[in-house]
Amino acid sequence: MAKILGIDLGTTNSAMAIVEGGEPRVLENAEGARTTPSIVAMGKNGERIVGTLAKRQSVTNPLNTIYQIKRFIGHRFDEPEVQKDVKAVPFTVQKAENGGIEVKMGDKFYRPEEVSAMILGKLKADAEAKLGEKITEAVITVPAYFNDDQRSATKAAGQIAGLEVKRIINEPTAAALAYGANKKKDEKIAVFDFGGGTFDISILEVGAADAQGEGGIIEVKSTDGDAHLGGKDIDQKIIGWLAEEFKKESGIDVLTDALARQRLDEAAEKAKIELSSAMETEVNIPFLTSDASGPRHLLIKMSRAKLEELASEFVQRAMDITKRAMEASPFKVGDINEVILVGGQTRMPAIQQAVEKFFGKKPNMSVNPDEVVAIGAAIQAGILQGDVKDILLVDVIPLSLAIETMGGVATKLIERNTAIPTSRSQTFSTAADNQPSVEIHITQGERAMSADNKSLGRFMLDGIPPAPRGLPQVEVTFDVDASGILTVKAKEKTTGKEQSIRIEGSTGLSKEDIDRMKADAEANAEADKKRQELVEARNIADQAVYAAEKAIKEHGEKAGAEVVKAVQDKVEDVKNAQKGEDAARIKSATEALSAELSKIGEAMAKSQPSQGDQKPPEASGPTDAEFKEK
Amino acid sequence: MDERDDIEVAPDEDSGAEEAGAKAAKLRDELKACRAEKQEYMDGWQRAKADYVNALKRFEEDKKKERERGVLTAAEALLPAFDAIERAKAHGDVPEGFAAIVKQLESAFASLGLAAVGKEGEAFDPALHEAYGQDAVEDEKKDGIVTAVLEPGWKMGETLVRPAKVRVGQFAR
Repeated sequence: MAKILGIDLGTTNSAMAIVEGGEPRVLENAEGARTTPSIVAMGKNGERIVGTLAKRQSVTNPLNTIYQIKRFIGHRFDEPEVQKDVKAVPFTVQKAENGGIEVKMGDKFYRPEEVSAMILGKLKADAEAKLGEKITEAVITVPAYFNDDQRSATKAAGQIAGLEVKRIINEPTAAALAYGANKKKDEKIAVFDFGGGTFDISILEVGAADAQGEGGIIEVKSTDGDAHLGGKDIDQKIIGWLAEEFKKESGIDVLTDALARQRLDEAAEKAKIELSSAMETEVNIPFLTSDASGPRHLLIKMSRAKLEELASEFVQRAMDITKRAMEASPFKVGDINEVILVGGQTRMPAIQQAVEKFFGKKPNMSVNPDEVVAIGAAIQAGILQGDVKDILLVDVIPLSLAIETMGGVATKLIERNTAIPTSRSQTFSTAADNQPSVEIHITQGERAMSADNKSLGRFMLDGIPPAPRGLPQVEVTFDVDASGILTVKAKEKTTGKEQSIRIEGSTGLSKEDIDRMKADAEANAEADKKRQELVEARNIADQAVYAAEKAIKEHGEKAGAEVVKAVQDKVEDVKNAQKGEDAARIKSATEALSAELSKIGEAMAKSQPSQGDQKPPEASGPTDAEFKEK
Repeated sequence: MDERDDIEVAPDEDSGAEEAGAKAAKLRDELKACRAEKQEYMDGWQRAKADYVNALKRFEEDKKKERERGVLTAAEALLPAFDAIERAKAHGDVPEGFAAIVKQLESAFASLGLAAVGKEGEAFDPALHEAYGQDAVEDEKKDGIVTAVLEPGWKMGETLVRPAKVRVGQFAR
């Protein structure tokens, strides 16, 4: 069945996403980028150029390079806001016959929807090339404040591009969908969208459940914003400050040099991004310019506090508009259940803190803020596609399933989030010579040691034929069916003897339990890792001691008393180290034993020079895991 | 039993032929529904299997692309330092010892498959160049030709890592 494309048709950049295997994912364009500049140009030879390439040639062709067409779509030419925008662009904008707007490219005039169609056409073509299938349908997002004319014009743009527009949805609604709003009921959501060039705030309400008991309808209760407020304003402020600092030092005004200005722009954006995670950064631009005395370099430290000072007027403006939007809505600030962040600029800690302070709750930003609208559009597309019967839902196990191996380690057989039904097998062996049975202890959880996880069940497999440790092959199979019922089977391969256990409710934990267990694992990750290392060091030491004692028994006479004594001393060292909890000490004692052990082989080789095929005994490397007899 | 065969139901001893006929009709309907459902499941299974096989193929492609992207990202991170060295060289600022280090960097870049793009005199191509300014030219032939390379671009194989920053000739008609 053909896929429906979700498209975020932005003022400056556009993005597209699709639902695959039940998950939305952003599609890259032909140039390999996840966003496409919303720019169209007509080249000197009359060829049409869209996206990144159009942006690169804009300086050479300003009259025929159309950008930010979204500011004109669905508007009338005489509107005051349009007149302001017309003055700001180099390309020709004129009044159409019906009072609408036309822009000039080459010798022709185009309606804004025709230009938007060119952008949509490129996205469509790139998606088809990527997926290897035709795309004929799309869901396109628009700002919440778009009126009917603007929405119709956007739909028309889709049709011109050869796309049947199944739905036009609001950008904040799409963002809410990306955070699962379609599964929620009776919720009030604030969507704070601070992008590169525009700021929008919307207050949404998710209604009561629908007839099927699924999530309710999402309604925009109020919307406000500033079409000329965004991250670029902050970049310009930083550039101004850098240029000023440089001028203080060098006396040179670099803002008049286009390349220097561009380098400042790149450095400003880089510094802004770094200061989202660091408290200070260094802006380093060697050979920024030159004068009579030679090359001049820019090297300035910039603190997060400085950045916040430069950005404060813009952050304050955004919060003032947010306050206005709340007052225009039927709700109080305290009624808001969830706050969603959209737009790359929301990565700035100062903005996150301002939003948290205003709403009294931490904003949600787990979905990439640059892609969240496109992802939401894809989810809407997926919901529409789901109208066609798809009875098969794929479930996953929420927590890893493991068995307990030597030293109490939880050896995972099925990782969490594995889709079910599924089956995994792994082969284990015995920990002691002539071990007659193994105990299979099954646990669930993310901790490294079995004792810290939830025990699901245990059983014994006996009748293992006598053999040196590490030789028997016990295959353990975990099978989880579509209902989440786990069957564990253990089979000794030489005799074919097997035993199994069936565990119901292995996926029956509550969400709170699952979240708590995951959080526990994260909090204890460091400590668990140390314990696991200690256990592994002890296991390896065990094997080294076993190999050494076996070698002494079999070859000690031939090797000589001196060599044997040296090996025995090292064995003692390892045993002593094992009594403690120092993994590093156990490891180094084991390595010393292995080194000493090789001398038995050397001694044997010296005493029997013609028997070159005798291999010296070695401490064997660890079997992945072994069962200790209880 | 071949599912294509019709079901024959023998009448119970105690019930009449009419009841048997109704029973048979009901069973035929159930069978029809079961066959339709079976086909639906089979179709779904086959589609899922095909999706899985296709996804595996795409994973391999994606893995290859991610490896290349990893190298690209590393190269991109080093490019500003390389640019600085080129600028230093233009100012005659690189002492002998450093010149050797520069050579090492250049050969490391070449071993990654990085090649510079952007030359004066070539036709402006937005696939390789980004225009940062225009220079008036008197010869029509020089219209749309690169007049200066402000910063070289780089490509890795066929992939453009960064376009060259250039100035372009403009012939005023």
